[in-house]
Amino acid sequence: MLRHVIAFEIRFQLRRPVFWLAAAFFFVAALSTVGQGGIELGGAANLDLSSPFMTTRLLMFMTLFSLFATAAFAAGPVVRDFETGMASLMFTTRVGKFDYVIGRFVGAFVIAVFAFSASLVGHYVGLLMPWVNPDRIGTLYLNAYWFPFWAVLLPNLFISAAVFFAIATRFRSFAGTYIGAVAFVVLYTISGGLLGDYQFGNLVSMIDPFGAGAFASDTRYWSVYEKNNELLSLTGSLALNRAIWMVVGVALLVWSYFSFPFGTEALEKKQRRPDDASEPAPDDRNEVLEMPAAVPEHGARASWIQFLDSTFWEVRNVVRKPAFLVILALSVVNLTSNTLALGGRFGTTIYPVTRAVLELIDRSYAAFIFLIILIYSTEIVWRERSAGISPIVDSTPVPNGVLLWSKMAALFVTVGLMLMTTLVVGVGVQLYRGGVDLQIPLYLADLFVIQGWPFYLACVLVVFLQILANGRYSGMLLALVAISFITVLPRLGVEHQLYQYGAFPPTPYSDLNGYGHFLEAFAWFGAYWSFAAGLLAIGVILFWPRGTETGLRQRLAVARQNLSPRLRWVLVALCLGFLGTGVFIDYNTNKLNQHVRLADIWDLQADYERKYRRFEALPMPRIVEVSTNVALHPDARRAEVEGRYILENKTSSDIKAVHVSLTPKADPDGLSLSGGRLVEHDGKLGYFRYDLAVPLKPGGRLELDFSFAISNPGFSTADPVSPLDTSGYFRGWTTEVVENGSMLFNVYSFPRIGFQPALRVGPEDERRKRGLPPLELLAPQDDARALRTSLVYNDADWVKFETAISTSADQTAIAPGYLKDSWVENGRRFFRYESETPIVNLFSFQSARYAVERVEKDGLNIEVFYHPDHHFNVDRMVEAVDRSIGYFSRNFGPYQFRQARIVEFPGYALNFAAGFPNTVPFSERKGFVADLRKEDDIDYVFYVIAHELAHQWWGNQVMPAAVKGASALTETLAQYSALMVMEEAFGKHQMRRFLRFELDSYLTGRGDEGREEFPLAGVELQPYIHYRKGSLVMYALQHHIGKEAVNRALSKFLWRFAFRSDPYPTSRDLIAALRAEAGPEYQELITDLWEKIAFYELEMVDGVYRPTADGRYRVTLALQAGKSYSDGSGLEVPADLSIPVDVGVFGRRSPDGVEDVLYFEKHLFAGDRTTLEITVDREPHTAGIDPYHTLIDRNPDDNRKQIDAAD
Amino acid sequence: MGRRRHNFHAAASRRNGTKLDRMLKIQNLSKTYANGVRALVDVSLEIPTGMYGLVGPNGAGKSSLMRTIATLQDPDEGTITLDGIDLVKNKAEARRILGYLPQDFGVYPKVSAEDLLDHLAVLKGVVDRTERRELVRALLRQTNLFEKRKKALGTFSGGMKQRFGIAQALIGSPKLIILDEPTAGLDPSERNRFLNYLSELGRNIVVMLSTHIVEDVADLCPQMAIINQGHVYLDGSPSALIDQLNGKVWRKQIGPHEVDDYRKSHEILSSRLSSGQRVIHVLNEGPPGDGFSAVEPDLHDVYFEALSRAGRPVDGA
Repeated sequence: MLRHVIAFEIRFQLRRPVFWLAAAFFFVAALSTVGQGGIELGGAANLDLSSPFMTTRLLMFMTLFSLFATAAFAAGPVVRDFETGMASLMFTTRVGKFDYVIGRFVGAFVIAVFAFSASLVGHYVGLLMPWVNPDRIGTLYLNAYWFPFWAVLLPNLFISAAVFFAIATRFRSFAGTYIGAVAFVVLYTISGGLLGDYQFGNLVSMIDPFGAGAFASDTRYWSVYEKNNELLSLTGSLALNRAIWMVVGVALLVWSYFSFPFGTEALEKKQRRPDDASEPAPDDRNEVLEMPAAVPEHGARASWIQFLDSTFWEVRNVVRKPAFLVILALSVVNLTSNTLALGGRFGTTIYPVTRAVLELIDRSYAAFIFLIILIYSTEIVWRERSAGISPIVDSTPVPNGVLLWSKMAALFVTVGLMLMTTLVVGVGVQLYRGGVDLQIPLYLADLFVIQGWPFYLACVLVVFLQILANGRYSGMLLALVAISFITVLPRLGVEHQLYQYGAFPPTPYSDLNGYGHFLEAFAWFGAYWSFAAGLLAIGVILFWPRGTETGLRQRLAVARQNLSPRLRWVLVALCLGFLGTGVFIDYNTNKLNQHVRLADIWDLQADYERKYRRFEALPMPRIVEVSTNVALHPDARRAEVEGRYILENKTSSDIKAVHVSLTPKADPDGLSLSGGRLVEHDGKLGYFRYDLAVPLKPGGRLELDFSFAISNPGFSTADPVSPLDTSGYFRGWTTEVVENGSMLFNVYSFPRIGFQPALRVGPEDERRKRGLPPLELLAPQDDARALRTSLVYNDADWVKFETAISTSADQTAIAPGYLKDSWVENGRRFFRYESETPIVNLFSFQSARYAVERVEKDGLNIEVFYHPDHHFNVDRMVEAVDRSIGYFSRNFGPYQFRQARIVEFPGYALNFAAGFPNTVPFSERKGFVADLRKEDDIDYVFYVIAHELAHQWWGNQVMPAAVKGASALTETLAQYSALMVMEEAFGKHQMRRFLRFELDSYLTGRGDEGREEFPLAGVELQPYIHYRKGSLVMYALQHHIGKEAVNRALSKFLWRFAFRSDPYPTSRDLIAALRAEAGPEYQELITDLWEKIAFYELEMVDGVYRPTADGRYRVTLALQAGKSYSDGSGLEVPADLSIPVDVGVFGRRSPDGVEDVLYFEKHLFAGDRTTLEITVDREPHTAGIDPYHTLIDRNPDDNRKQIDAAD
Repeated sequence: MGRRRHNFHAAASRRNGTKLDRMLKIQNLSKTYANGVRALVDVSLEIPTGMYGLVGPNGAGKSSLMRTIATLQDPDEGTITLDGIDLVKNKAEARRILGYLPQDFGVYPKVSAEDLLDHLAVLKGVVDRTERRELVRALLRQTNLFEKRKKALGTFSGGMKQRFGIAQALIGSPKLIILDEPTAGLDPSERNRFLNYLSELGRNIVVMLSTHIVEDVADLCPQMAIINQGHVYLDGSPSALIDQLNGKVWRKQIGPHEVDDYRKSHEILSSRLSSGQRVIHVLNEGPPGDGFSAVEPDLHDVYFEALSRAGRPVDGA
């Protein structure tokens, strides 16, 4: 009998469209995700798409989308019989309870497995698609499908099916299952969110029922090689996670079985006891009562009242359902947990400023609102039909429009209630954490307009699709498919928001600049999409399911009837509005401005590379002097830039031609070269070739004049882009000039001399598509030309710089150099800056309404220019500047300026600080709002400032050659310098915590490497190496050879290479300096740290101690010590651990946390396992090998353990 | 269509001699569902003010006809007009004068009777708050639900739910009330009360009710139609229809297994048990003899006569 029930269930569900829709969805979703870079799935260019790791990760992510299908499959069998009244028949058949309940569950589960397995097929077919790079398909292991099938798909579907089954058993309604779906999503996102921070380890990974967290945690430190080649087996956190959740699933199933109402109890419970007993005896008076005269009204006023009443009615029905409240509660939990831990860096939080809270809401709440929209649009649209009251309502005179708009309004109100809740949570967190001003108007504007608008549009779309599909679940799935489709449109090449329903151009908020000019584009798109939504709404009115007709022909006939003349006019008006705003937006975003498609930019970069790379080696004069005049008009978002370069022939031969690259958006006519004749101008790529009438002799000079205007006509869809992003060269102007917080960098805006290697296409995938050979980012260290080229600026070495800059009267404008003069003229403020010593040719022009903090200390002028609301950390910044400059000048060499300035700018896409000459542009997001009120939190503001100021030495005094390993000389040394000042300020303990974060970033970073991991000495601008590994390497080095030795080495290195350009130094020079100061026993360590990719496996296996006769303690430690070298892909080979390693024995910490070091010595280890005997004076408590985690070890936590007294 | 159709309507109205101030006209209405079922076949009826009974077995097309009149579905062909208003083309207009009790309907189980009635009253256009409140209360009193007005509808018994359905159909002084099986689920006294109320209402407006219980019609309706398989087989006043059978219906008490024998020789209208004995009615122009006795025909005989004609093959087919 069980078999029959299962078979029946399967056959039944196979006939329903929801099964086929779900299967099709999973197939297409998996197929389209493969090889598209992945939406959420990341995946560097080096990861094989077919590896077990990748398929498993994909499937875990896709489980999230299976929830709706599984809910339908698993809740259906429970609810169906009760809803249709079949229960009374079913329960009186000979099917037993076991067969009935378990049979139905198994049937539903099998159906879910069928449907979801389509994603495996989709994935496989996806691999065969023409757009997939065949190089990225590795060995096709059976394990790649088999493992995710049985370890992910089966358990996940079982768990979710069991949960839905149980919920449906309890509530006997579909609505309850949504709670389950949302709970899953909450657990998934909480787990995912917390796992971003390594500190939350395995416990957090148990929360996620789908195992994605556990899997991520297990594979967190996998190298690219492991990700590509490792076969998966069920171990570690994942195994535990699966076990826990399977138990939960089985328990729920057992519970469902026993509480499943079967037989007569079921029917009684469902129908309750009717109230007949207490019904008054029908009175026999056959009296006909006089009905009060209530004349129905029809027309606008009546419709309005009907609308209000119905809206209220609908909202009440949504809000009163426990499902809504539970979903709301779950999302609030999710939001609160995120908001409380409002992330800064290194575990330190930021002040809950309204902007940050709103961004967080935007990130963590949108999914819930879409869920609510999806669920409640279905509920609301189907309410009458589900209840069976539709024939009554449909035959009332209420117009379709009232029914539709009241339902729509109820959805809007529901969304509004959700948003209002976020406001309450946000304000609550702000009050709880304290320290910030409440900005209620900003909340209202951002939540209900900026964030809300897309939701309202989604409501209309989803209702429209519900009406179109005319089936509860098919409508829901259709909506899901449509929303997913819209989300992937950009990846299918449709990038313009004009063609993605409900898409808006970005509206980043800055405390300095508000929404700024972004608001205009938003408003136009808002109007445009609202017209579109209006058209959809007309569709809804026409096809509103009124009456009992369901056939397509009849529905079309009804729609024709519904199209009243008035509606026809509205339709025409909406079409005109839609087209009109569309054309206007097109004109503004595509004609006046340029809509940026990344692919187009890469195309341009590829053209540039192909056409002009041949000139790379052509000798060019270098810029030696720069003078500019920049007039900023923040209100008009306009600027005029004029400038003159003095170019000098620094080569030893004559120069006959000068080439200039100037961003194509700048006016080409403003460019003129003294003595030069323009022979070619490529307007599209901004390449100019001049011939010199008289060849330029070595040492000879030329003048290059340029002038161009920055203007921002109309509005655009452009994302803000970092001024250091190469693509800026080919983009239009974006946020260079804004109302408050302008920032213009010279790098990609000003003329450059010669071919610019930075403009080559970066990502390997994109190079391959365009037929370009693999990129050699930096030249080898023996490339003679590269050794004479600066890493950051290939056409200048050290320059003299002066500029005039003017801005509106209420703003301050800042550029590198010392302020020589400032005055007000014609309602504008003018400033003149001049550098007294040669500087690196990197400069920024900034202007805003600043508050200024000025401190004079020992002849040093420290200035912080900040947004008045961002006063939190200004004092600390000043202190950090002071201490940093103090430490660096004492230990490395003198500071070349008598001033240091920190200048805040709007944190659009530019979340960084930069060490420009005597000036540090500092993003508002980078630490101005860091919450450093807790003493032991890592003060990352101090860290960033120390790092950027260190660049005044490493980068602004010593400039590396543009060869491999170059950034180790700037970034790694800046990291080291910052660490040393921080250690001085905060102590070793905080450094160890800081380094644990660095270790985590390094190890996760290498697993996402898109090309090849290089040793530090050969780093090619890879942040996880030059920053993160750099910190670990330098800290280890100073730990082992002593920081005096390191500082001495750096000081000598600085002395030798400061302001040198012929040649520029390389990492070889730095390593030589370090080797010279390190003892012979540490040469191997330097090799490991700098020239190899070395991993240490150090473990304290076991330790005991026993008292000795003389009152001391004899400690026996079993230690494991090994080392391996990795190649660039992550393939490792064991090596001899031939360096001395710390061994320590410690007593109990004193109450104030001071460590009692009983023994701390270096030991050499031979072989894997070593037993050490150590005698100490006091009773030991813990012991370990490399107890302070100085060496790079993927399991640092086992280095040190508590030891026990031997029996 | 080929089927015979008796129309006694003209005669009936002549006999009543009343001026029909309001008239629901159904002309050549046909409807075939997507699955091929012909629900209505060329139905034409003229329905005057007053109670009008639509009688037929289950699946005869009663509900289809009523749904069509209630604007919930469109006919493939034909028209329905009331006082010159085309109910098919002008649904908005139609819904303003309509009260409809569907055969099968649900309610929101957690909502109180008063709240839902109030909401439905708004939808029907009674937007004045005080008027509506009065009306809702009066309707609840009329349907004897006043005491239970605050109770959730989910706790209502079948009869109470039906009374609620009737209450909502009466909102807004409809000119045309369509009641699909209104007495289903009502106990005899409720049914009585309700039918009384209806006949009171029917003095000024058209009240169309469908039923498969002949007595409902016999007691109340001055006009009626018998419908089966989408066809109207008879319409007119019950008394006129009964008169048609005067002297043609004969009764006999027979043995338990003799029905089939009689079927061969007689046109049996009905066969039922009366006090445990099988009694048959047959149709015959003259006395059939053989122990049959004359019987005064009633509406049952009319009904069964119509159905038996409906069941017979079409002449010449």
